[in-house]
Amino acid sequence: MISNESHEKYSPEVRKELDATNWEEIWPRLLKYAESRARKFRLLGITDLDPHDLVARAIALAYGTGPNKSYRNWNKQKYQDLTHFLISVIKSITSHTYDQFYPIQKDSVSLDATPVETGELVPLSPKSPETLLVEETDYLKLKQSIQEAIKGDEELELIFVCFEDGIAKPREISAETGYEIEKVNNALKRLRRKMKNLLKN
Amino acid sequence: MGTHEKDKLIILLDAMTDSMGSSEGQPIEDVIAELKEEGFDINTSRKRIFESINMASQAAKRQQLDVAREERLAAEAKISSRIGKYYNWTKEQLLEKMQEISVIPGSEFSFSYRELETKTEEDLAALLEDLEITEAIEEEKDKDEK
Repeated sequence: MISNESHEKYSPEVRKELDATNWEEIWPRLLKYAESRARKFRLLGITDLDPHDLVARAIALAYGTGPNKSYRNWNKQKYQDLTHFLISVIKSITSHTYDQFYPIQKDSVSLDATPVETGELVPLSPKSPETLLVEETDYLKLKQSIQEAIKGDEELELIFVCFEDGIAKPREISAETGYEIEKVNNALKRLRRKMKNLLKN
Repeated sequence: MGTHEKDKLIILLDAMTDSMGSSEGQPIEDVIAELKEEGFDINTSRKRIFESINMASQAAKRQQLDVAREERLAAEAKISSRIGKYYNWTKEQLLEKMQEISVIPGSEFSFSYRELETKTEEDLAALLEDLEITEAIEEEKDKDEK
């Protein structure tokens, strides 16, 4: 069952806050984030996760009504606002080791395949040596494709190095690269377009 | 590509998609504009997500009712097992039980023995039942608070 790290009971008091939330200010941010995380799976060719479903699942977990009554408690010390909390839930749902999902097969992983116990995505069957070979080649090809897509864009090339170090927050990328935050955000917009084109091809 | 290299690529992809999905400090209008650019039909997306919120909220309310019903049934079962328990007791037995209850540490009940003696067996049995039902309700409340 999904819960927070300490496995404490669900705190239903949060439901009142969720009901009183101005979702107009939140849902586009959640959808943007979910779309980006779903893209990760698309890049890997694993599945076409619907970002709306990812948002819906995060909301259900916050309400304590996930599959098999799974839930997530909102740790307000860690996530001061609801947007950050729900984004962390989406991140968690989509933060699986890719090993679990190989071999790459469309329709292999879907939201319908969510195991009742965990509310997470379902791992696929064990890998054969042939599959492992395919997997390694695919990973290598994918990295090369991304590098090819950003080739010549100096800012993105430098930001790519940040990604390799696991630096994800635009503020941190700005501090690391010395670029103004606006420059980072514009570069990320370009990256989104490039990734969209990459997925089209 | 070895496992180590593969793990590095996973870190890269996680950071990249995390970063591309960030909207921190971005006005909501810009986020919506980006979603449109991505090909989302904003009205449809909004409708779908609000439906999800509504469904989760309704499911939470149903769950709340289920929990309340379970608690009520448990309390009722406990109470019903105590009804009629003292009907065949003698007056002496009932008075003795009353005294037992009043000397339990932490007991909020105290009785005037002289006053109790004036009561009938039925009155005393009913009084004991009331006390036990009150106690059962208190126990349930304590459980909920824990």
